[in-house]
Amino acid sequence: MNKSPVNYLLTIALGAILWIAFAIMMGTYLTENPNLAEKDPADLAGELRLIFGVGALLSIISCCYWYYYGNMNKVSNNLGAAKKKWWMLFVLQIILCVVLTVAIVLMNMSQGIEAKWYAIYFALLAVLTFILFWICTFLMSPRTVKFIPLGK
Amino acid sequence: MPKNVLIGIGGTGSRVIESVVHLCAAGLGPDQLNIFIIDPDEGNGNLTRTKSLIKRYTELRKLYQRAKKDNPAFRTEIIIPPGDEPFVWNIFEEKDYTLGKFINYDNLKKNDPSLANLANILFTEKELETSLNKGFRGHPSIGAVVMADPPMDEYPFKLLWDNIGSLHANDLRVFLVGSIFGGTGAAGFPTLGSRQLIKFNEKMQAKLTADKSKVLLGGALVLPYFSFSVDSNNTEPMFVTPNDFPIATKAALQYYNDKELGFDQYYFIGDSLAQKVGEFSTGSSTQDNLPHYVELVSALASFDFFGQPSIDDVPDKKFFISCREDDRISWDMIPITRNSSNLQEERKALKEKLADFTLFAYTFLSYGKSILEKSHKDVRAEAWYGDNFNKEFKEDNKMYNPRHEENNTLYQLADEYLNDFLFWACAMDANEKIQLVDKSKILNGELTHKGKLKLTDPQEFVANIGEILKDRSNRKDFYVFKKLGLEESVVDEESMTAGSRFLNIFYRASRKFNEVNLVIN
Repeated sequence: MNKSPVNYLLTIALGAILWIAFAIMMGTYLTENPNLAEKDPADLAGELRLIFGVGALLSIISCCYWYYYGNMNKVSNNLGAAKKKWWMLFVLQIILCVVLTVAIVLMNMSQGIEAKWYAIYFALLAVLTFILFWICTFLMSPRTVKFIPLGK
Repeated sequence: MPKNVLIGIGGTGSRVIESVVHLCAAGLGPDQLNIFIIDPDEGNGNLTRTKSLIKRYTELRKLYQRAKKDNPAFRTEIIIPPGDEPFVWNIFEEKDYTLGKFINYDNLKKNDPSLANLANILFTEKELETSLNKGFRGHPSIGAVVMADPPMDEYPFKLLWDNIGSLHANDLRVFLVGSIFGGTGAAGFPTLGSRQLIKFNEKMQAKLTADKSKVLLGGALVLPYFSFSVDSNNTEPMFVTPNDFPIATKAALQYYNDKELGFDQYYFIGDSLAQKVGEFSTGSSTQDNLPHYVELVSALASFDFFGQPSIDDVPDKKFFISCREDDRISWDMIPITRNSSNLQEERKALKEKLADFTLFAYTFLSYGKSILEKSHKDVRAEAWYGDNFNKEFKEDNKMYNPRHEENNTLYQLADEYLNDFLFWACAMDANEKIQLVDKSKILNGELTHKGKLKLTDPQEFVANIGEILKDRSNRKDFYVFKKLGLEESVVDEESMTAGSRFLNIFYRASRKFNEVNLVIN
């Protein structure tokens, strides 16, 4: 799993599956159950698809960059820098998740959506961003940096 | 199964044995090899170096568990006299022995004047009175007298005759090695090579019939191959200089041509580069010369001798002579076998195994030791380390913790031995004509005789590792060593200590790296 291009392809596939599951298959449930003052649930669904898509895409790009970086020869001589790099990418994913959740909140401030739905959106975005990044790098990091991800 | 015995005579003999030991460490030697040395100069630096080297080899071999499937290093069991039995025949039991004392010259003068007069004809007064503690000082005629009757039933000679009863014709393969141009070697080689002393020794049951023996006797006669600086203020009573070598060699070769000695096979090995191997010394600790590639060639001659097929009948006399094609020494010029159909294969094996072991020594002593100096926590992120040690790591167990104190003895022995090996390999790289190992890629500074070598850091000079042989290579770097070498080397033999696993990882990684880096035709 940690060989190129298998890790790249599996990461893209996993990201796509999660996005389809959350944004398409769960789309109706996520948009028709919250209280919406004026907005059409279909419009909210479109927004969620876009935001979930941005989160998943950036997470996939981060994973692919990590695979590319981890395969570079010079990295084997400087695992300290690699560790910093992984943490930087991981924290960026968390920030991305927060920013995207805030974007959903800002776009729907006037709609009166209950807080629990924002929590659910945050949780789903977390899966699509930093958790996806963590799982993919935990399982599929190139050999040289395989012990860098958190928990390895 | 034939029994192999290697006898080094004098300083050159000791130095050839040094090469033999290193080649055995690299996995090129026979399965078993009995070794001892003859040298009256007990404090000789070359001898001291070889003695401590054999001790380190045997101790390390005992402690280092090698991976069964792919680690031929240290495969040769080097056998020396047991316990405190002497490994070196010093000839004289007392200090300041002279030839006069040995033949009881003062008594002869009183009781047998005619014999004393004969001694006066054969030897000068200086030869009779000079202390022989430092060898025979280029006067083999003295050595021939005192070595004529060695104690065959005492160690180290007893090593020759152990189990003689179970051996068949030509099964006891005895190989003598010494210089033809010095003192001890020049005296000992023909003396021990005489028909009655070893080859057809009846008392020790070597002789089978008038022309058949249990002993197959071979020898490498090392012709002049080195030079040294001579101090013009030298006050020693008798000594030999490089200027004496040609005449001494000519006289000795005439002797070998005329005399009917017991040798079945001779190897004549020399070199005209006259490489300097150190400063002048009559002997003692100051005679500590740098290793030379001719000693490597002589060691390979002994392996060729030991590796030949069994001979049931009376062996034919054989002489082996080899010379260079030009004034360079490269990997594909080293004489290694009598069998021309195997020449390329054996040269390939020599180059591969020496390259593997050199790289193993270099990477362990530099990068490997730096990893051991860090804590487990600090290096657990290294993929190769983690694959081997993270999963079952137990701080207080030597099987799982490479830093456990019980593994330290192994590292210390490996450190000392591998340092000796690299010293030997680098010392042969004396000038641009010797195209074997490139010491400038290994050493950080000059080659020093004493103490630990200062090595280049492969993590800093990443390209060096791909160029440690002076030969064509794919110039792979240290990153490749880590990726295709260390990261592909998981050693998971359960009965192996973590210390041995750590060493095996580096050996295996060196092999894997050389597979992609060396260009071997």
